[in-house]
Amino acid sequence: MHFGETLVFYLVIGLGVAVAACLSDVRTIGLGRDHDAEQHRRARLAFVALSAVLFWPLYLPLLLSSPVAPVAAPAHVAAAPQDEMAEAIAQVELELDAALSSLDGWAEDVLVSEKDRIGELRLALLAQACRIREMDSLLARAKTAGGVADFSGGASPLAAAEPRACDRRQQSERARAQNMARLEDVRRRAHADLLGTLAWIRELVSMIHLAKFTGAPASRAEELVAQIAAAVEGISAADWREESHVAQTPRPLRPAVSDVERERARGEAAAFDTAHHQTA
Amino acid sequence: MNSVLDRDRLVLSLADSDAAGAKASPGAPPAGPSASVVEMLLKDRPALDCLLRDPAWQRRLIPRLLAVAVAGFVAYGLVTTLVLNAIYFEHGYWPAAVPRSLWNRPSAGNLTLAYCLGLIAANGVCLPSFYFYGLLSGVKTTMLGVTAHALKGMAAGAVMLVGILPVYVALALSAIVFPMPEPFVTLWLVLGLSLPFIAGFWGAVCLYRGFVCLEDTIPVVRRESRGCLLRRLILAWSGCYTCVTPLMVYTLWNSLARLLP
Repeated sequence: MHFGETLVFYLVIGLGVAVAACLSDVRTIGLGRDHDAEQHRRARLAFVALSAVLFWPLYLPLLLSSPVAPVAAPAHVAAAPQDEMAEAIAQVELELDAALSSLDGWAEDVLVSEKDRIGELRLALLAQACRIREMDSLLARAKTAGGVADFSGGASPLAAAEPRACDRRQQSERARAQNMARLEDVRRRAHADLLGTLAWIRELVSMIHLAKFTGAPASRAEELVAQIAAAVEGISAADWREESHVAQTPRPLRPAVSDVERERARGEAAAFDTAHHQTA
Repeated sequence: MNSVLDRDRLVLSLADSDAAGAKASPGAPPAGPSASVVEMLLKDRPALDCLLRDPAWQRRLIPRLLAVAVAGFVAYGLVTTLVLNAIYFEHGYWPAAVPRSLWNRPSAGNLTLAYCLGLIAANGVCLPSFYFYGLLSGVKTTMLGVTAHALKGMAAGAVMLVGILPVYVALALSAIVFPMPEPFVTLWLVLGLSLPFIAGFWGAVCLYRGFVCLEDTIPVVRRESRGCLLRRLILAWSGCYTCVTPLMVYTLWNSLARLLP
């Protein structure tokens, strides 16, 4: 094949890549909002089109890689009001950030592997708080509606007025009261789970600081960060348990992270400290 | 902050200011380039390396880095064509084995085109091996990231080329204005034609420094042994690129000379 023919093939492929690169660029960067932005966008597109025809091998990785979408929090999480739970989550996030940034120069590679899961954990905490708020507002609405004064099984005013004529109504009211009492119970448990998880994260954060300043190996930090990241699974499991609990028998109050896990982590920390002091 | 957690008798209590300070830690990803790409290449390469770790910024920066490289190579091509022609019309001398690129012929743009296309196409040809070397050394990277780093090295080389071009023009003017023996004129011309490779050393240094930073993506237990391999592989790739580029430029220039005599 001669140079001219090769050039034709090269440019034909380049044209195809240029069209694809322009379409991808428009999708990624978007349209300009004002005159200057529009002009800038056009200049950029013109350059991309021209350079992609000539240097299409450099644009192939750009086209073949998956476009990166900005990680956006769910709408219900983004609009979270500032209340006690939001403050507690913010406090834990600050402490967690401080602990993770203290890993620099000691075990910073842990962050690379667990970054996504820790991001998921943050979102899960916010989502859990949002869920509790929804239950709060539902319960408050039910209470102010006046139909049910007490969800713990007390007689409603409607039932008290006409006891015989309203048997069916009474049954429904009682069932409703029981459901609302269960919902209150679910809310209480979800709240306790959330606080338990937050406390567990703070405990692990303190263990990270302790491990760092007692000269623990980087593998210890890896374990602790992995346990923090694993808390997201505890929250998910708690959600599922609560949903299934509504239709099943009640269970004793339990935090999202099991006591066994906590004891194991504490035991490991104590064992490490003992071994460390002995070696020191 | 009196949070609800305090009621749970938690032991740890960090000062808010400490934690807030950690929010703006240097390890945090930057929001975006506050300066132009050229300025960052000259003044703040670590910040550029930091941006090149983010896939979203890689997509944005690839066309910009390519634009910087093309602009630098076009400027070099035009100036070198001018110098070669000035010497040719003044002394009637054109280096042997170098295809013609005369400004009064259709071949006027051959040198510029050959260098522009050759330098960048050689980079494209060597990219898969660069990606493969990265994977071999255990660095967590993508083809997009490797392309961005290679283009950063090329753009840095192009900026350096533009920087040393005025010095070369000043030296070449002496060969145009004053009568000089042919070996000296040949020396100036060969120096001019090899300027992109001299400036390319700076590009290779930038590429090396940027890519070695990715060493922190290798697991700690293997970092020491793999890091050494990574450094050697980058040097090997730079050597491979340095061998491919002159061949590519020369082949292209010859082919263009046949197409546009």
